[in-house]
Amino acid sequence: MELILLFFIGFLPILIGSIAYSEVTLPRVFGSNMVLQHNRQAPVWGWAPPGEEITITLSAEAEDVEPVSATTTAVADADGNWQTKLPAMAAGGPYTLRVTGSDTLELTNVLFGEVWVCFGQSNMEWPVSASNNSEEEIAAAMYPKVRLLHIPRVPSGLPQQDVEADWYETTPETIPNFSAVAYYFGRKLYKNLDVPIGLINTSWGGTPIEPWTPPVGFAGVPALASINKEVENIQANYRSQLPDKINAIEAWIAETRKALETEAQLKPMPDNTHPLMDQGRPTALYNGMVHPIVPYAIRGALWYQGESNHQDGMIYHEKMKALINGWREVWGQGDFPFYFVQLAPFNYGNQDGSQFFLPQIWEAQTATLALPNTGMAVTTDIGNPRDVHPRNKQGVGRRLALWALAKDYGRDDVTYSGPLYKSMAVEGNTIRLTFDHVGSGLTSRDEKPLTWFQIAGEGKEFVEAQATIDGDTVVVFSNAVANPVAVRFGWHQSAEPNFVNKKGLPASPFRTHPW
Amino acid sequence: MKRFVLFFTVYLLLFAQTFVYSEVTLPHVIGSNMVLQRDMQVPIWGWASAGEEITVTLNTKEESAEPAFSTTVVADAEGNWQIKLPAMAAGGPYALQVKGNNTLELTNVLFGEVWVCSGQSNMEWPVRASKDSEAEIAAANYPTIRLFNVPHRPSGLLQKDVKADWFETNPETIENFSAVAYYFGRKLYKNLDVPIGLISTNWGGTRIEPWTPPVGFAGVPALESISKEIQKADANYREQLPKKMKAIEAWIAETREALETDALLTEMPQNRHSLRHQARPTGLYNGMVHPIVPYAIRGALWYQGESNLQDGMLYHEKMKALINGWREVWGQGDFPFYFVQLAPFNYGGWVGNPLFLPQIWEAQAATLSVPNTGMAVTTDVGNLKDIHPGNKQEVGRRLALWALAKTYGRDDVTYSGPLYKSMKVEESTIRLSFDYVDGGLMARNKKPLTWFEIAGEDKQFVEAKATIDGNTIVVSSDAIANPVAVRFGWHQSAEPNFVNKEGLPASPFRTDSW
Repeated sequence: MELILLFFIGFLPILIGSIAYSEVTLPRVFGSNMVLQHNRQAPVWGWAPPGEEITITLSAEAEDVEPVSATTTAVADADGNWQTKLPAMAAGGPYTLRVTGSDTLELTNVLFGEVWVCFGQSNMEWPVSASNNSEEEIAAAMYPKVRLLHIPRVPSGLPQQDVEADWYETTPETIPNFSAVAYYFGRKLYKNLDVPIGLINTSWGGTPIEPWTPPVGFAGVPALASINKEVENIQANYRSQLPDKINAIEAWIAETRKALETEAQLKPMPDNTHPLMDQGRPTALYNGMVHPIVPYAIRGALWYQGESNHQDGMIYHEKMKALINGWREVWGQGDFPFYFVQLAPFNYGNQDGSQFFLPQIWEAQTATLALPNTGMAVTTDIGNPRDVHPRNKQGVGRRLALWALAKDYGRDDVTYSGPLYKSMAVEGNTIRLTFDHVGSGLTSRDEKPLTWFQIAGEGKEFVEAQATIDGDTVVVFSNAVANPVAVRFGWHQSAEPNFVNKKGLPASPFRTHPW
Repeated sequence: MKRFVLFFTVYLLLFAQTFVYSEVTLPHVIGSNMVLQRDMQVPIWGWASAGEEITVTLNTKEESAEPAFSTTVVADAEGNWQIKLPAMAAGGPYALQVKGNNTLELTNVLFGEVWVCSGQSNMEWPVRASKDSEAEIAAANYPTIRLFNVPHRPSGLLQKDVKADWFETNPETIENFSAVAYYFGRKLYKNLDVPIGLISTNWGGTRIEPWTPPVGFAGVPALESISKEIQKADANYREQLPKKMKAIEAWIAETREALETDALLTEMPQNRHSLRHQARPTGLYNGMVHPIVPYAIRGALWYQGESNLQDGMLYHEKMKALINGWREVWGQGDFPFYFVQLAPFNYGGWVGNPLFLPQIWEAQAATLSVPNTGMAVTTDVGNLKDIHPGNKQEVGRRLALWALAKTYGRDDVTYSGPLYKSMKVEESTIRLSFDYVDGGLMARNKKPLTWFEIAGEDKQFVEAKATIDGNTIVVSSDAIANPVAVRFGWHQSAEPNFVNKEGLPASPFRTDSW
């Protein structure tokens, strides 16, 4: 027994040695070339041996400018975690950030500016190289102050602490595989604000919204109680099975050590895959691709997703609530701006009723504008019904930037939204519609009669309708419907209507009645 | 300290339990409801404590009857054991008892014909998504056709078991089972009237390389680079293991503490073999085929190639590696290996070239030179607009024709459409002769033969007139005075009408190699 004990004790230092960080370490979201959010106390965190004192120093790199510098300290807690905040800084740079514990990390070429997290599925992931005018756009992409961080695809059942990614300046070499929507958004901000821009792209084609949502997001939405319960059950299950699994893994390690010595055939490690470790499962991408950058200070977030949830109907609105509230909760930065792209028209298929799935997602997205500090870029005029990945990402990025310029950067003169349906009034055999975001007036983008308006009476049978602009309202009418009750606009998956405001921003599809 | 010691002792016991098998265990492929291959010595294997004595007994249903067979074996130092059952005639049900320190009882075991069915999405394609699914599912009451569906699992190292069970065929179990495998098995069942066991192991979108064992690549010089890649990946994994295991041990210590204190858990450090992916060579052999080797089988079916579309004749080399590799690991000799020639389809977009698919057809047809292989041509039962044609009944039937004729001695069965044999220039025409003329050549729609092209020395193919002359075809064009070469069905969307009198279509071919 003595011998066994000895063995066991001999084992311990190795264990302890590798759990704790032997030197000060930063998550990869902090790195040379990064952009830190300006005008805000930006958190800086990392790991170090427990009790180690960490000093963070910021110093201007250019010798001819006034040497701005700041110093802050932190002490690593018993688990080796430390966190501090930088003082709010004005836009600019470059700075060198030194993190000193028992050793020193030095991050160079650090800027302060505007940081946005851009996430979603394939249309957010879609790279500059596969979008419109890719050749010229790539050749022209010389923006050393627009910085890019591309988070690799990692699903995870448990919150990850770090990602393998680095910050880069925008050049023709770094931009081709970066998110086109994020880049065109950032470039427009840069041109208008003239401050450094940091773009964090975390996206994965074909993924539904649920994987991107943190557990706390689901917990806050009663309609999603079943998802919340499912996640809780899976986590509890995983936990309860873990002791057996780690025993099996320990046995495998012993066996494998022996096999390595004897050159014997290796056996696969016993499976310890977390059941949520899949890009289709709830919370998995939050855990693997978002949590590692929380709470990096940001201005806001962009979201372009929904194709993989296009049959969800109004529950997608609940899921967006869970996502947005969840992110805001974990970030601890209050109700930061959250701007999203309304899906473009696309022929998902023509089985019974499937042509109306997409309009219901449009409706769910529009309903989400009820959440504070949200905005929506309508894209009915820049999609491609035969391609779920429309190539005009410039237009999408620009429209998202309009929201940011108007709402976050005080550009009062910017029209940032197309017309959004407000109310209706039956007037004899016509229905008069009023709108928000009329801007300087309503119009038809091709100067032809307004398209994709439908009208119905009590019978709920919609027929094509004539729609005419009357001042800031639209009057809808059909000879076939004497007593109209309801109007629909753009209510079909392949609708590309021509109704816009005078700034050319298209109206969101809508229906006046929930049938 | 006492508690500590106790903890550690318990821990050691657990350790021992998982390291060595204290109970006799069988792989899942050997389970209740299985079909064992008849007329052949059948391996039964499993694991137990080292040195444990294992008795395997086969009983008929009647309790009073003598056991049909019984034998005893001792597990080796690693805990492995294997016996062979004697060759049995078709029938059952039997019970198989495996007795060591504990006893396993497998029931409802049959002897019959066992086939492994593998490939990508068209082999995986389930009955419920195929033609006449409702009627087919409702009619699927075949308690002696048994189904074993291997779940998706890539692995960088050889796995020895899969999580799957054998089921009788009924409307519930058939829905998600491979349609091609089922329609093949059903036809065999109707013709042979013996139990049928179908092992389905496939994964949509996968290439051929992941399904091939290392020994397969090693035997094909043209694929040496793949062999090297595998060796390098293995060496790399081995090299990194010590470091990774230390990190995992640290995680284990941390996790044990977190479990006690209800603290947050962290993910285990990655220990991923770089071949553990459904697109990497050997990744699916390791995870989805090796666990059923050497379960006795009659033969194998293969329906794959869409994901290797641009491979050209290299695909033939890869098929050789696959077939030879499987035959090597199975140790059953050159068992029958029947495959489906891909159906015509308009590959668009980045794939682009409409002559990629004909080259895969050519590579597949060339593979018929490997002994005991057969090919079901499907140019007439595809769908140019759907890479997953719905008519899996006919694909299964055509594979079964090969099995009936070549494996089950049904000499009267025509099992192949015409295959190009040779050509002869006769002035301004070219005369083609064929194997598998069987009863004569014809056009399936009684119209002139379609999709024949002819060219002279300048290699410019033009549409040609093709007429049947006895057992040959004479091809000509007014535009070509001195013909040199003929092509037939040489386009990804060709659906030619040239068949033999049994209605089996001719394989596309070219007489040139331009």
